[in-house]
Amino acid sequence: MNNIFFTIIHLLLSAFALLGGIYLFLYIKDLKKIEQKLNILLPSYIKTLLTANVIFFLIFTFFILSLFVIHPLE
Amino acid sequence: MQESKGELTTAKLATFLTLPGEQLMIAKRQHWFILAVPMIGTVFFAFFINALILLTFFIAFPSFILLIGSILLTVNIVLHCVIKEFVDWYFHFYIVTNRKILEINYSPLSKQTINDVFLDQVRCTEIDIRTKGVIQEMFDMGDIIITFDRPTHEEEFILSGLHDPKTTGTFLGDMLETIMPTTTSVWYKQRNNPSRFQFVEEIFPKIAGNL
Repeated sequence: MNNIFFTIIHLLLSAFALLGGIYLFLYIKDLKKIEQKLNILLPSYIKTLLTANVIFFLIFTFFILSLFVIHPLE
Repeated sequence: MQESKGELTTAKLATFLTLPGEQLMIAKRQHWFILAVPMIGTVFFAFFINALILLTFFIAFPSFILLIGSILLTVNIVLHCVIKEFVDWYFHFYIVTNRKILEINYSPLSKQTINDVFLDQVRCTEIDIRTKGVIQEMFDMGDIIITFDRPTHEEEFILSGLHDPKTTGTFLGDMLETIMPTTTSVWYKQRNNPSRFQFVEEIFPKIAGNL
Protein backbone atom coordinates (compact mmCIF):
# COMPACT_ATOMS: atom_id res chain seq x y z
CA MET A 1 0.00 0.00 0.00
CA ASN A 2 2.78 2.38 1.00
CA ASN A 3 4.77 1.55 -2.15
CA ILE A 4 1.83 2.40 -4.40
CA PHE A 5 1.30 5.66 -2.50
CA PHE A 6 4.95 6.64 -2.78
CA THR A 7 5.01 5.74 -6.48
CA ILE A 8 1.96 7.96 -7.10
CA ILE A 9 3.61 10.82 -5.20
CA HIS A 10 6.83 10.32 -7.21
CA LEU A 11 4.88 10.47 -10.46
CA LEU A 12 2.93 13.53 -9.36
CA LEU A 13 6.08 15.38 -8.31
CA SER A 14 7.81 14.51 -11.61
CA ALA A 15 4.76 15.71 -13.57
CA PHE A 16 4.87 18.97 -11.58
CA ALA A 17 8.61 19.33 -12.24
CA LEU A 18 8.16 18.81 -15.97
CA LEU A 19 5.07 21.03 -16.37
CA GLY A 20 6.52 23.70 -14.07
CA GLY A 21 9.76 23.81 -16.04
CA ILE A 22 7.93 24.18 -19.37
CA TYR A 23 5.59 26.83 -17.89
CA LEU A 24 8.48 28.84 -16.44
CA PHE A 25 10.37 28.73 -19.75
CA LEU A 26 7.31 30.01 -21.66
CA TYR A 27 6.58 32.60 -18.93
CA ILE A 28 10.04 34.15 -19.15
CA LYS A 29 9.86 34.15 -22.97
CA ASP A 30 6.49 35.97 -22.90
CA LEU A 31 7.72 38.36 -20.20
CA LYS A 32 10.65 39.44 -22.39
CA LYS A 33 8.22 39.99 -25.29
CA ILE A 34 5.99 42.20 -23.08
CA GLU A 35 9.00 44.19 -21.85
CA GLN A 36 10.01 44.91 -25.45
CA LYS A 37 6.45 45.68 -26.54
CA LEU A 38 5.69 48.13 -23.73
CA ASN A 39 9.26 49.46 -23.52
CA ILE A 40 9.09 49.10 -19.74
CA LEU A 41 11.74 46.98 -18.01
CA LEU A 42 11.17 45.03 -14.82
CA PRO A 43 13.33 45.99 -11.80
CA SER A 44 16.56 43.99 -11.50
CA TYR A 45 15.61 42.43 -8.15
CA ILE A 46 12.55 40.80 -9.74
CA LYS A 47 14.74 39.42 -12.53
CA THR A 48 17.11 38.03 -9.86
CA LEU A 49 14.16 36.42 -8.10
CA LEU A 50 12.96 34.95 -11.38
CA THR A 51 16.43 33.52 -12.06
CA ALA A 52 16.45 32.09 -8.52
CA ASN A 53 13.07 30.55 -9.30
CA VAL A 54 14.46 28.85 -12.43
CA ILE A 55 17.56 27.57 -10.57
CA PHE A 56 15.37 26.36 -7.74
CA PHE A 57 13.21 24.52 -10.26
CA LEU A 58 16.25 22.87 -11.85
CA ILE A 59 17.41 21.71 -8.40
CA PHE A 60 13.93 20.38 -7.72
CA THR A 61 13.84 18.50 -11.05
CA PHE A 62 17.23 16.87 -10.34
CA PHE A 63 16.03 16.02 -6.85
CA ILE A 64 12.94 14.27 -8.26
CA LEU A 65 15.06 12.42 -10.81
CA SER A 66 17.36 11.26 -8.03
CA LEU A 67 14.31 9.95 -6.16
CA PHE A 68 13.72 7.52 -9.02
CA VAL A 69 17.29 6.26 -8.63
CA ILE A 70 16.92 5.83 -4.86
CA HIS A 71 13.41 4.33 -5.00
CA PRO A 72 12.85 2.84 -8.48
CA LEU A 73 9.22 2.48 -9.60
CA GLU A 74 7.76 -0.93 -8.82
CA MET B 1 16.13 64.71 -9.35
CA GLN B 2 16.86 61.17 -10.49
CA GLU B 3 13.79 59.21 -11.53
CA SER B 4 13.21 55.75 -10.10
CA LYS B 5 13.47 52.75 -12.41
CA GLY B 6 9.81 51.77 -12.23
CA GLU B 7 8.46 55.28 -12.76
CA LEU B 8 6.24 55.81 -15.81
CA THR B 9 7.68 58.71 -17.77
CA THR B 10 6.93 60.30 -21.15
CA ALA B 11 10.10 58.75 -22.62
CA LYS B 12 9.08 55.25 -21.53
CA LEU B 13 5.49 55.66 -22.66
CA ALA B 14 6.33 57.21 -26.03
CA THR B 15 4.94 54.11 -27.78
CA PHE B 16 1.45 54.95 -26.48
CA LEU B 17 1.51 58.59 -27.61
CA THR B 18 0.46 57.92 -31.18
CA LEU B 19 -1.92 60.78 -32.01
CA PRO B 20 -0.73 64.14 -33.34
CA GLY B 21 -0.08 66.68 -30.57
CA GLU B 22 -0.67 64.09 -27.86
CA GLN B 23 0.79 64.88 -24.45
CA LEU B 24 1.03 62.69 -21.37
CA MET B 25 -1.00 64.01 -18.43
CA ILE B 26 -1.10 61.18 -15.92
CA ALA B 27 0.47 57.71 -15.86
CA LYS B 28 -0.20 55.72 -12.74
CA ARG B 29 -0.03 52.19 -11.42
CA GLN B 30 -2.38 50.90 -8.76
CA HIS B 31 -1.54 51.43 -5.08
CA TRP B 32 1.10 49.04 -3.67
CA PHE B 33 -1.40 47.84 -1.06
CA ILE B 34 -3.32 46.06 -3.85
CA LEU B 35 -0.16 44.03 -4.43
CA ALA B 36 0.52 43.38 -0.74
CA VAL B 37 -2.81 41.67 0.04
CA PRO B 38 -2.53 38.70 -2.40
CA MET B 39 1.19 38.32 -1.59
CA ILE B 40 0.52 37.97 2.14
CA GLY B 41 -2.40 35.62 1.32
CA THR B 42 -0.14 33.43 -0.82
CA VAL B 43 2.52 33.19 1.91
CA PHE B 44 -0.10 32.23 4.52
CA PHE B 45 -1.55 29.62 2.15
CA ALA B 46 1.98 28.22 1.67
CA PHE B 47 2.35 27.85 5.46
CA PHE B 48 -0.94 25.96 5.56
CA ILE B 49 0.08 23.62 2.70
CA ASN B 50 3.50 23.01 4.29
CA ALA B 51 1.82 22.11 7.58
CA LEU B 52 -0.33 19.56 5.68
CA ILE B 53 2.79 18.17 3.97
CA LEU B 54 4.55 17.88 7.34
CA LEU B 55 1.57 16.01 8.77
CA THR B 56 1.41 13.68 5.77
CA PHE B 57 5.09 12.78 5.41
CA PHE B 58 6.08 13.01 9.07
CA ILE B 59 3.20 11.20 10.75
CA ALA B 60 0.87 9.44 8.25
CA PHE B 61 3.37 8.18 5.64
CA PRO B 62 6.87 8.81 7.00
CA SER B 63 9.31 9.58 4.16
CA PHE B 64 12.04 12.14 4.59
CA ILE B 65 12.85 12.38 0.85
CA LEU B 66 9.23 12.99 -0.19
CA LEU B 67 8.90 15.54 2.63
CA ILE B 68 11.87 17.52 1.29
CA GLY B 69 10.64 17.14 -2.32
CA SER B 70 7.14 18.37 -1.52
CA ILE B 71 8.36 21.33 0.55
CA LEU B 72 10.79 22.29 -2.23
CA LEU B 73 7.94 22.18 -4.74
CA THR B 74 5.65 24.29 -2.52
CA VAL B 75 8.34 26.92 -1.91
CA ASN B 76 9.05 27.01 -5.64
CA ILE B 77 5.38 27.49 -6.55
CA VAL B 78 4.92 30.18 -3.86
CA LEU B 79 8.00 32.05 -5.07
CA HIS B 80 6.62 31.99 -8.59
CA CYS B 81 3.15 33.14 -7.43
CA VAL B 82 4.71 36.11 -5.61
CA ILE B 83 6.75 37.06 -8.69
CA LYS B 84 3.67 36.67 -10.91
CA GLU B 85 1.60 38.93 -8.65
CA PHE B 86 4.29 41.59 -8.81
CA VAL B 87 4.65 41.31 -12.61
CA ASP B 88 0.87 41.54 -13.07
CA TRP B 89 0.76 44.66 -10.87
CA TYR B 90 3.79 46.18 -12.60
CA PHE B 91 2.29 45.82 -16.08
CA HIS B 92 -1.16 47.17 -15.09
CA PHE B 93 -1.31 50.94 -15.37
CA TYR B 94 -3.46 53.84 -16.50
CA ILE B 95 -2.39 56.52 -18.93
CA VAL B 96 -4.28 59.78 -19.44
CA THR B 97 -3.20 62.02 -22.30
CA ASN B 98 -4.86 65.11 -23.74
CA ARG B 99 -6.36 62.89 -26.49
CA LYS B 100 -7.25 59.57 -24.85
CA ILE B 101 -7.51 57.49 -21.68
CA LEU B 102 -5.83 54.08 -21.69
CA GLU B 103 -5.82 51.11 -19.37
CA ILE B 104 -3.00 48.67 -20.02
CA ASN B 105 -3.09 45.30 -18.35
CA TYR B 106 -0.55 42.68 -19.39
CA SER B 107 0.06 39.39 -17.70
CA PRO B 108 2.51 36.94 -19.31
CA LEU B 109 0.82 33.82 -20.73
CA SER B 110 -2.62 34.80 -19.53
CA LYS B 111 -3.87 38.31 -20.32
CA GLN B 112 -3.21 41.18 -22.70
CA THR B 113 -5.72 44.01 -22.42
CA ILE B 114 -5.56 47.53 -23.78
CA ASN B 115 -8.73 49.48 -23.09
CA ASP B 116 -8.86 53.01 -24.48
CA VAL B 117 -11.29 55.87 -24.87
CA PHE B 118 -10.70 58.64 -27.41
CA LEU B 119 -11.67 61.87 -25.70
CA ASP B 120 -12.76 63.62 -28.92
CA GLN B 121 -15.34 60.85 -29.57
CA VAL B 122 -17.13 61.05 -26.22
CA ARG B 123 -18.64 63.55 -23.84
CA CYS B 124 -17.60 63.31 -20.22
CA THR B 125 -20.52 63.91 -17.91
CA GLU B 126 -19.21 62.95 -14.48
CA ILE B 127 -16.05 62.21 -12.54
CA ASP B 128 -16.64 60.41 -9.27
CA ILE B 129 -14.06 59.62 -6.61
CA ARG B 130 -14.80 56.56 -4.51
CA THR B 131 -12.98 55.45 -1.36
CA LYS B 132 -14.39 52.35 0.26
CA GLY B 133 -13.67 51.35 3.83
CA VAL B 134 -11.20 52.19 6.56
CA ILE B 135 -8.19 50.51 4.92
CA GLN B 136 -8.56 52.47 1.67
CA GLU B 137 -8.96 55.69 3.67
CA MET B 138 -5.88 54.87 5.77
CA PHE B 139 -3.68 54.14 2.75
CA ASP B 140 -5.14 57.04 0.74
CA MET B 141 -6.32 54.87 -2.14
CA GLY B 142 -9.53 54.70 -4.14
CA ASP B 143 -11.23 54.58 -7.52
CA ILE B 144 -11.90 57.33 -10.04
CA ILE B 145 -15.01 56.69 -12.10
CA ILE B 146 -15.29 58.65 -15.32
CA THR B 147 -18.74 58.51 -16.89
CA PHE B 148 -19.09 59.18 -20.58
CA ASP B 149 -22.39 60.09 -22.23
CA ARG B 150 -24.43 58.92 -19.28
CA PRO B 151 -27.86 59.91 -20.70
CA THR B 152 -27.40 57.77 -23.79
CA HIS B 153 -24.82 55.02 -23.24
CA GLU B 154 -23.88 54.91 -19.56
CA GLU B 155 -20.26 54.12 -20.38
CA GLU B 156 -17.99 54.09 -17.37
CA PHE B 157 -14.23 54.04 -17.24
CA ILE B 158 -12.92 53.07 -13.84
CA LEU B 159 -9.39 53.83 -12.73
CA SER B 160 -9.32 51.49 -9.76
CA GLY B 161 -7.09 51.34 -6.70
CA LEU B 162 -5.12 54.52 -7.34
CA HIS B 163 -3.00 56.34 -4.79
CA ASP B 164 -4.26 59.82 -3.84
CA PRO B 165 -7.52 59.63 -5.86
CA LYS B 166 -8.74 63.06 -4.71
CA THR B 167 -5.86 65.01 -6.24
CA THR B 168 -5.85 62.85 -9.37
CA GLY B 169 -9.63 63.14 -9.75
CA THR B 170 -9.57 66.93 -9.37
CA PHE B 171 -6.73 67.19 -11.88
CA LEU B 172 -8.62 64.97 -14.33
CA GLY B 173 -11.78 67.03 -13.91
CA ASP B 174 -9.95 70.28 -14.67
CA MET B 175 -8.11 68.71 -17.59
CA LEU B 176 -11.19 67.16 -19.21
CA GLU B 177 -13.10 70.42 -18.81
CA THR B 178 -10.48 72.25 -20.87
CA ILE B 179 -9.93 69.66 -23.60
CA MET B 180 -13.42 68.20 -24.11
CA PRO B 181 -15.46 69.50 -27.09
CA THR B 182 -17.74 72.33 -26.01
CA THR B 183 -20.82 71.32 -28.07
CA THR B 184 -23.24 69.41 -25.93
CA SER B 185 -24.87 67.34 -28.61
CA VAL B 186 -27.24 64.46 -28.06
CA TRP B 187 -27.49 61.67 -30.66
CA TYR B 188 -30.47 59.44 -31.11
CA LYS B 189 -31.90 57.13 -33.75
CA GLN B 190 -35.59 56.76 -34.63
CA ARG B 191 -37.03 53.27 -34.68
CA ASN B 192 -38.45 53.47 -38.22
CA ASN B 193 -35.87 55.79 -39.72
CA PRO B 194 -32.30 54.51 -40.16
CA SER B 195 -30.79 57.99 -40.44
CA ARG B 196 -29.42 59.68 -37.32
CA PHE B 197 -30.49 63.03 -35.95
CA GLN B 198 -28.48 65.27 -33.74
CA PHE B 199 -29.80 67.92 -31.37
CA VAL B 200 -27.36 70.71 -30.82
CA GLU B 201 -29.73 73.17 -29.18
CA GLU B 202 -31.01 73.00 -25.62
CA ILE B 203 -33.89 70.56 -25.20
CA PHE B 204 -35.49 72.61 -22.42
CA PRO B 205 -34.70 76.27 -23.19
CA LYS B 206 -34.78 78.67 -20.26
CA ILE B 207 -37.81 80.93 -20.17
CA ALA B 208 -37.24 84.42 -18.78
CA GLY B 209 -38.55 84.75 -15.24
CA ASN B 210 -39.18 80.99 -14.91
CA LEU B 211 -36.56 79.10 -12.86
